[in-house]
Amino acid sequence: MQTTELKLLTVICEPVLSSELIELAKSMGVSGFTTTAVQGEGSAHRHSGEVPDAKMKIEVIAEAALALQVMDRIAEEYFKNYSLIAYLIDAHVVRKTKF
Amino acid sequence: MATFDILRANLLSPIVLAFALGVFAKAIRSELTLPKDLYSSLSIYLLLALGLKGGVELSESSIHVIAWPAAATILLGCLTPVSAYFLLRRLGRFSSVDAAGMAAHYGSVSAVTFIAAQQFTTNMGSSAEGFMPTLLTLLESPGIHIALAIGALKRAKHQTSATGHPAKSKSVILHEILTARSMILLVGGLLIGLLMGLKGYEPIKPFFETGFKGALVLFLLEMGIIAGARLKDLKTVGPRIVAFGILLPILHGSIGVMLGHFSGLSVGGASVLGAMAASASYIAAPPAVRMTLPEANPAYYLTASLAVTFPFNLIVGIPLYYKIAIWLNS
Repeated sequence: MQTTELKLLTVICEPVLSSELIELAKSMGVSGFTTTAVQGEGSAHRHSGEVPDAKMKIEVIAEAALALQVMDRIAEEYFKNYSLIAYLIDAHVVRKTKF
Repeated sequence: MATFDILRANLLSPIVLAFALGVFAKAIRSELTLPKDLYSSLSIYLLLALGLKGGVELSESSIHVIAWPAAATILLGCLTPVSAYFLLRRLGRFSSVDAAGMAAHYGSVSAVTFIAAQQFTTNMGSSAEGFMPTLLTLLESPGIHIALAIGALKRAKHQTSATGHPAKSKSVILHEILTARSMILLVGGLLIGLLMGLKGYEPIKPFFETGFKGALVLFLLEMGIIAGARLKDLKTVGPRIVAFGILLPILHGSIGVMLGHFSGLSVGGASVLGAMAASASYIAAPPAVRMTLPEANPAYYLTASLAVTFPFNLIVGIPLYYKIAIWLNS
């Protein structure tokens, strides 16, 4: 099967941030996203919501350059005051046109 | 009734005991927790039931009975965030954003504390006025806005670095607060209740009233677990938070009871208004503060409202405001 290499950008953040981060990614050209409610604790051991360890995982798949741009923007705007992590991994996708 | 008897009656009420069980379960590291969806469902049920019943009662009341208590409530909503901010800033030496973040919580209201106070006064034989849920909706948002406005002004003054998250605009925050789940359910419930009246309420009354107290017990159990999880944060935030978490509700609660009394509310109504003023929001305020004042430390405002003020009001505060109301009335 023919696959194309793109990047999977994963952000794990405080639930309160999720809609804003999705809007940001979309406004930069990302075509779709997946969110999952997850639980966990980071190095800051900081709980910012009503339910202590609730976090949101946002996943988007995009061209490497765009994924990097989105990650840069998130780092610049949110890393200072919020608890979140972001990472990129390779994703081999079928139907490249969907992304 | 003597103070001791009032306190004992409150301590032995099912909601306080269920809350204590939740805290205990967390303290002994039990795996007990309510499924998240059940917790959400219970809060939807409780808020809608509260709104519906309040709306039906509102349809039976005349406007001039509500006018003064409503004015007193709005005054409270404007007063409490300012008093909280200045006390936290001057006496507590908190930074301006931390003080504003906490003031937003203390200026707003906790619906569960409201319901607990309403149940308590009913058990004591002096039920609060039926239109109290209307006052609850009036008190929900002004406090958050005033405190956030103070915080935003101070933040703009001290903003030093160019990077960081740009604060959300006022209209976005206003939209978020007004469209929050609790607001839609309460205001929507009030409107439905007002429109359908007593006749429309009769068929749905068994569902919304019979299960209400039981649902509240389950909800308080989960609140106990949530508050219990915050208890370990008390060590990191320090005694200042504990002191203010008790001082602010006593101050605001007393002012609330007085304003309630002088605006013509009954002993029950004045006690419930006191409990409303004393309570700190933990649903509407945290996300609004997190997005508007990102530099404010969430550990401060969440620990203060969930681990200190909520249990304080539930156990000591509500009987205290009731006692003050009785004293004013005599």
